[in-house]
Amino acid sequence: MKDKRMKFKLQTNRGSAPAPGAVFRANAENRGRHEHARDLKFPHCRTKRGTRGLVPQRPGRACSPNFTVRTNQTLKHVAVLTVVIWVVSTFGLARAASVIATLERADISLGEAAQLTVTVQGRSAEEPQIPSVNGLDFLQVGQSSQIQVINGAMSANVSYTYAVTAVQPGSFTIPAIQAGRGADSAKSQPVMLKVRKSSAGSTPAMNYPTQNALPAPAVNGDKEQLSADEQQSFGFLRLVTPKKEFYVGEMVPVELKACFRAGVELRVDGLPRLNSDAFTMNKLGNEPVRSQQLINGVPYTVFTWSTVITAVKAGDFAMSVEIPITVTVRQRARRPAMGGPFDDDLFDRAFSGFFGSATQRQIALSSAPVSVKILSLPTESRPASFSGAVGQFDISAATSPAQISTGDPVTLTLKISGAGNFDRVTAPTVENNSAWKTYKPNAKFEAADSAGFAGTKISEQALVSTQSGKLEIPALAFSYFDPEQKQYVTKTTSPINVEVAPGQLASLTVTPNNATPTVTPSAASAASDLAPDKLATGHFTATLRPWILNPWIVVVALLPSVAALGAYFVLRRRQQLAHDPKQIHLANSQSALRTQLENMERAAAVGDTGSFFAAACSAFQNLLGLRWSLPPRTITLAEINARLNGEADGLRTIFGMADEVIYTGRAFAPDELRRLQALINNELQKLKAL
Amino acid sequence: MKINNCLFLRLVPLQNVKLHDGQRQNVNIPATASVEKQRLIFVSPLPGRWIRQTGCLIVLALLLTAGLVHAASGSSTMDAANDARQGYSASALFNLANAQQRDGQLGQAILNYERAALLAPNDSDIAANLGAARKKAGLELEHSSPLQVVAQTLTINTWFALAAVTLFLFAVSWPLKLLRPHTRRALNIGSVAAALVLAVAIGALGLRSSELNRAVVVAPEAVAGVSPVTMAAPVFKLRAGEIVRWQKIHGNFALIRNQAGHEGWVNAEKIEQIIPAKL
Repeated sequence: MKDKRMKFKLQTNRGSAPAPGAVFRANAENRGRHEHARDLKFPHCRTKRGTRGLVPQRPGRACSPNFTVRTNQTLKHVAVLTVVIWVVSTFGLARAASVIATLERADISLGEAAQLTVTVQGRSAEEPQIPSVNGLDFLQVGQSSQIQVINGAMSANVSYTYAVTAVQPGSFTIPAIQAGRGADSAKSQPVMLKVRKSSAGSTPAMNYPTQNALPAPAVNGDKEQLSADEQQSFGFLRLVTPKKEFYVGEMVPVELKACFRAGVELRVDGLPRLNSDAFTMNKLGNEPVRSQQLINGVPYTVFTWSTVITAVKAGDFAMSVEIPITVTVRQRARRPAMGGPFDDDLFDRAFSGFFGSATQRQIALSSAPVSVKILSLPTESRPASFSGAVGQFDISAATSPAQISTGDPVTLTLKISGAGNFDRVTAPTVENNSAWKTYKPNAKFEAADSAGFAGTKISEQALVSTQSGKLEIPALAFSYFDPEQKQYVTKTTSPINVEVAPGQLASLTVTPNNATPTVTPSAASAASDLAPDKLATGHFTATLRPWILNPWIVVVALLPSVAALGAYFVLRRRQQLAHDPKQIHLANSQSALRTQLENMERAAAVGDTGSFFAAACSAFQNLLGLRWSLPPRTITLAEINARLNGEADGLRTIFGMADEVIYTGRAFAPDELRRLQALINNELQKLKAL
Repeated sequence: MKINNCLFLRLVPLQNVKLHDGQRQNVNIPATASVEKQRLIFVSPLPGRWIRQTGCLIVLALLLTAGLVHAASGSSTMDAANDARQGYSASALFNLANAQQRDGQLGQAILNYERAALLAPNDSDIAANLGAARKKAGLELEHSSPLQVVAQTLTINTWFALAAVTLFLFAVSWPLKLLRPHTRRALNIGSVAAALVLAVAIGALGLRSSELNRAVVVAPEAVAGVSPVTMAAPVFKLRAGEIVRWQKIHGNFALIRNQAGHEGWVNAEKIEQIIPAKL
């Protein structure tokens, strides 16, 4: 018969690498305590601005998260649950309980860790009891739950994972591990672990420090137990400083430790910030050192940043750090009482892990404030060469080459090494004297650590001999304040002798790279390869700004070109019009009309009736021919009657009178002709207006 | 001859022009006309009044342009003896830069050499001393492409003036072709030549346009930060005399871009634009 397998992996939440995109993730080693976030307090935390659901937390007062149920997810889960309920209620839940213990590596070296997996099958929901083994340490690192339905038989498994480390080599027997109580209890078989001596250079496979190897974080150098709030908290922040008394300008290496309880699912959203204006803190690295630690028997994931703080002003101050994080809070789903096989703690836990909702809360986790005192640097017996360096330093000097000729450069190298505020370390320099012409030194810093606290500052100064013989580079003094001795310290180099052979001063052409003279050069350097000054000052201009940056000049410069192009287009248009037949016809017609009107006026003046009416008719013919696009001679009275359709009675009257004059020889007096001329002009205006 | 024909009369030597009264515009000159009359016909505009007016307008526009450019540019020669502190002179800038280089002020020296080269791009002394200053400051010498070398033979103002003149010649050739059709061939050649020179001038201006926002680090050292605040995280360092591109200014900080293409905010007092933003 073919097995019908149904397998539900309800929850797997193991420690993992930092999630991509996030700064890093303190992942939850699930210890099966999903109620942890609900039950834990949030000491020294405050809400991030704009975060909903959390009431701003007063200092020293616990704040509880506001749980919300994701309804849409729950509806989906209910559908799956219905199927599970049907299957389980039909075939029943396997009740047989058993505990299986397996060791992934039964043979390890000292310093390595073996993975112990304890799988509890059946109804027993209690965490297995790990027996104490002399020489071995157990650290729980994960948990997973599974429900399997095989041929209708359902089984539920809960696996607990432990990291096992040894404090000494040898063969160890892990006795039977018991889970559950009473009749439901079960035991595993014993397992063997062999621990060999660690070979040189071997690298531990896993880094799970034991409780003995890694004590609880020391606060300000003191080992201190966790406070009650911290024991209840999902995590805490510590600022580890070597002392509580500083001097202004002193750089102090510190450690910032963010400890998060294993099993808490959270994401660190940024780097720790220093809440004090009395100190400046060097830039933190984005990748802190991550480790697992047992603190008071509770496993923690610890992120450690190493950096340096610098005291900037004197006084008594409280110093703390804070870090923004996002905590995922899981809420146990409320399952109705079903009875029967479902009234089981294991099933209840699986139900809660699968159907419970999760809410993310952004908070700022703060460390407990630390009171520190910052002292001013003493003014008494302060050396003149003191430039603000605070720390522990040493100085050495060397020259190269040892033998030169006059005019040749020699490089004086000063090395100031130690630990302190190197930004205030200024190497002493050789001043101009009768034997040496000096240049400004170049300085560089070679850090010995990532924080720039320790290292070496190297100063190179070019010296040019102006004399021959055995020249001495004088002793150079460097002063600093030692905060350990609480006094100023001056260290001096030994004088250095340089053999300078006679040479040609004028051959001084070697200029040290990146070096600039500190004094006005002598005649020798002035007579270098520079082109000589110009005698005439030449023309002066009021500004260096090119004309092209002045919009007015650009406009004025383009104006003639625009005018020329405008003239071109005007001329071209005129020439085109001059050769247009329509324009020519129009011009001719208008000219003829003007001529006819002039003739008509002359005829009226002399009383020439025939010429008057002939000119009048021609004027009408020209105007109408122009309007109707017909030859003027084709315009007759019949054409006018046909086109004007009964309008222009005055025009017809004029034409009728013209016919009468032609056929009857009727003559009009000049006064009548002038009156008719007015009538004709009026008719012409009407025709133009049509 | 009427005065408004001066534009055309200037085309021939004055001694060959013979003026006479009356109808010069008459083109019906018989074939037996004298050589003097034929010359007169050549220099006399054939079209009517509007043509002469157009010619005069162009002349007036040219004169106006020259006058305005001259006045607006402020390029009048000043008496250096009277007020040498006002204005810029290539020689004075060169001498000042020499003094600054001898005094070790390499940033200021390079700035003034650059300014002098802006006014006198073909001065070999300026180029030599600028190179020496850059070498002394530990800076790499600027390598120019052949086109940039050609573009740097003239000043930006000269290229601009050349572009404006050739543009005008190119533009004026078109109406002249309509006014004087018989000279169309010569005008075509002239307009093509003007267009070529115009293209070269515009190209040179385009190449030189990158010099308009250059600035020089005048402080011994400058640190470019990521933001225009005093405590900004440093991005890169600048050495004295280093040439950067001035992008914009915000408060006391200027956004610059170095020759590697990196941008950062620098204290504006530590750099100075080669072409000052204000007079």
